[in-house]
Parts: sequence; structure tokens; C-alpha cells
Amino acid sequence: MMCLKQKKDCSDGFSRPAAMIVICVLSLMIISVSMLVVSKQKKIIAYKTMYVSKREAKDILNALEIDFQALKEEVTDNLENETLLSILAKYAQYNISIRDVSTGINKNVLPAKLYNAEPVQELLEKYGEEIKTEYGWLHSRHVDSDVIKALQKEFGKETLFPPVNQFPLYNIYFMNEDFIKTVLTLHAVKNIEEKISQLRSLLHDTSKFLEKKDISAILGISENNALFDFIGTKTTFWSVAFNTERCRVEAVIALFVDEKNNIKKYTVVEKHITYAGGTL
Amino acid sequence: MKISEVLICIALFILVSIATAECFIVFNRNYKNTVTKIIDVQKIITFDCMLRERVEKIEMPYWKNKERIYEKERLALLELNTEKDFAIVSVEKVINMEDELVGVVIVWKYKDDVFETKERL
Repeated sequence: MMCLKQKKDCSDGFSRPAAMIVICVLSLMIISVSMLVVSKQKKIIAYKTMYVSKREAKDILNALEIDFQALKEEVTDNLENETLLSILAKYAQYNISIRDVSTGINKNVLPAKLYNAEPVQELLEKYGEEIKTEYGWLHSRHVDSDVIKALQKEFGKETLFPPVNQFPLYNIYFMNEDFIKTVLTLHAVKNIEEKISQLRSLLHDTSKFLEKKDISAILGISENNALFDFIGTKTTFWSVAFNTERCRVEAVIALFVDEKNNIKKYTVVEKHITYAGGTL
Repeated sequence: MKISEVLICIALFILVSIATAECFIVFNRNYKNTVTKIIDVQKIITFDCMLRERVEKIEMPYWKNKERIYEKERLALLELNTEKDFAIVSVEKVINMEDELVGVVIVWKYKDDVFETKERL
């Protein structure tokens, strides 16, 4: 009878408190470690995604920098430029935009006398921020001595190449008529209106390259005129912007010249990569 | 119950207890190791991320002396207040064929493991 009674008790369910405690403790440990793994794994995946996205953006920028080297062979930089068109087509999927950022009034680059000249001030008054720029090389023949001294102190040497070189500051293709007029006025060119109208027709003719000798012939000045220290047909600083799946890239690619004033290379001098996927 | 049966029962009980205790100890040790490793991995990743962001934020304007900026940043990185167990071992520059500064390699330690963070400037 007693044995039957015991069997009945067992079938009702039996557990020792110690076993229950062990099971509870083990369960809690497993649950907590699982939760920890899941939460940390999320962060690890988020970091991996961010790293891969930024790496992709940087790789595209590096490829873009390589593609920009083809501009060395171009005589003129304008929106019909074959290299620029091919770059725009190649990176169209990234919604790329390219613009000239060196053709404009740069207070840091121009000598004070020129910057404060009446035509320049009138131009600044008319166009404001639109005509200003923060990028550009310094021209060795048109730079203030205090700027040179500051740069010599910064670099600790006498020769300030490449920041100070002899490459024309502005690309005529990206100058508006008022800007061209201002530069011509500063160089005492006569019959400006008539000459600008001739220049305009040449600038709009994309079937031929506008060269120094063409500008020189139209303006009636020699090719050694100081005007050509300012006006050229090449852009020295390009701003590029594009979007990848998770990143926004804004960069500036600069033209570097060698000692003989020939184009040496294009290099990224500034880049900002913004990750749109949040923070860790 | 014979005495021999009692002894066998005691022996079995001891064996099972030892096995259970050992299992628990091993589980507990692995649990702690797993938790520590997961936390370590996250710390390592966060530190690497912080270093990369720091390098990305270094501004080197084209009209400034890059070497001077690099030297200032190198010293700042070496003196970085890191968390416990982290230490910056060295900061090296990467130069291209034209002898221009193009990147930076930061060697750092977490406990006894050595890591490298490489970034283009």
C-alpha cells in the first residue's frame, strides 16, 4: 500500500528546490548572455556597415581622382569638356555634381590693392557671396609681401612652390560677363563691350578650343600681358559631390603644376564624408 | 539494502554531483569568457572607430604645412586619454612616391593584443 502511495506521489510531479534553483540560474545566465550577444552584435554589424560604406565612398573618390588626371590633356575646361562629360556619365549613378570653385574673388589670394580696387568692390557689391571663392593658388607676380612672409614662416622655407605658382587664377569659361569686364578694366583694355561680345561668341563655340592666342588677338594685347596671369582656360580647383547608398561625399580636387608651369596632377585636397546611417 | 549497495549508491551520488558541479563550473567559466570577449570586441571596435573619426577630422588645408599639422596631431594622438587597457603605441606617417604625406598608421594595444588603424589623410 505504501509503495502504491509513493508511486502516486511521483506521477503528480516532483522536484527538489535545489534543482529548480539550478535550472533558474542557468536559464537566467543563458538569457542574459543571449541578450548581450544580440545587443553587441547589432553594434558590431552597425560598425561594419559604417566602415564598409565609408570605404566604398573613399574608393569612389580615389577612382574619381584617377579619372580627373585625364583633364591634364584637355586644353580648356568647360561644361562641354569630353573628360568632364565622361566623368559625369561614369558616376551618374552616384548623382555626381562637379563645379569650378576657383574662378571667383578670393580675398586671401588677391593683393589688397587689387581687391580694394573700385571695379572689384563694385563686382562684390553686385554679386555678393555668389562671386566669392575660398579656393585658389597664389600667383607669384600678384601677391602681397606680408602673405609671402606668412607662408614662408608657415613652411619654413623661401620657395613657396606649389601654393605660389604662375598658373592663371581664373577660367574664362566660368567667369560671368561682369567678372570678365572687371578684369579687363583693371588691365586697361579698351573697347571692352565690343571685345566681350567677340569673346562671348568664341566661348559659346564648343567646336573649337579657346586658346591664349585667340584671347590675345581679340583683346589686342600681347600674350605676355599680366591679364593672362588672371585669365586662362583651365580650372585649378574643382568641387565634387556625390552620394553613395549611405554616404554623402564632398571633396575638392586641385590642379598642381610643376616648376615649368605645366600641369603635373590633380589631387584631392579636401574631403568630407558624411555617413547617413546614424552613429554607433 | 546491503552495505555494498549503499556504498555504490554513495559513490554514484558523489560521481553525479562532481559531474554536475564540473558542468556548472565549465558553463559559468565559458559564460564569463563569452561576456568578456563580447565586451572586449565592442570596446576594440569603438576605439578603432574613434581613431578613424579622429583622423578623418584632421584638416590639412593646401596652404598649410602638412608636416607641421601632422606632427601636432601625432603628439596629440600619443597623448590621447585612452580608456583603461588601451594604449597608443606609435603613430607613423604614410608617404607616397613623391614623398608627400598621404596617410597615417596608428599602432595601439588593448591588453596584450596589438592593432593597427590605417587611414588616408
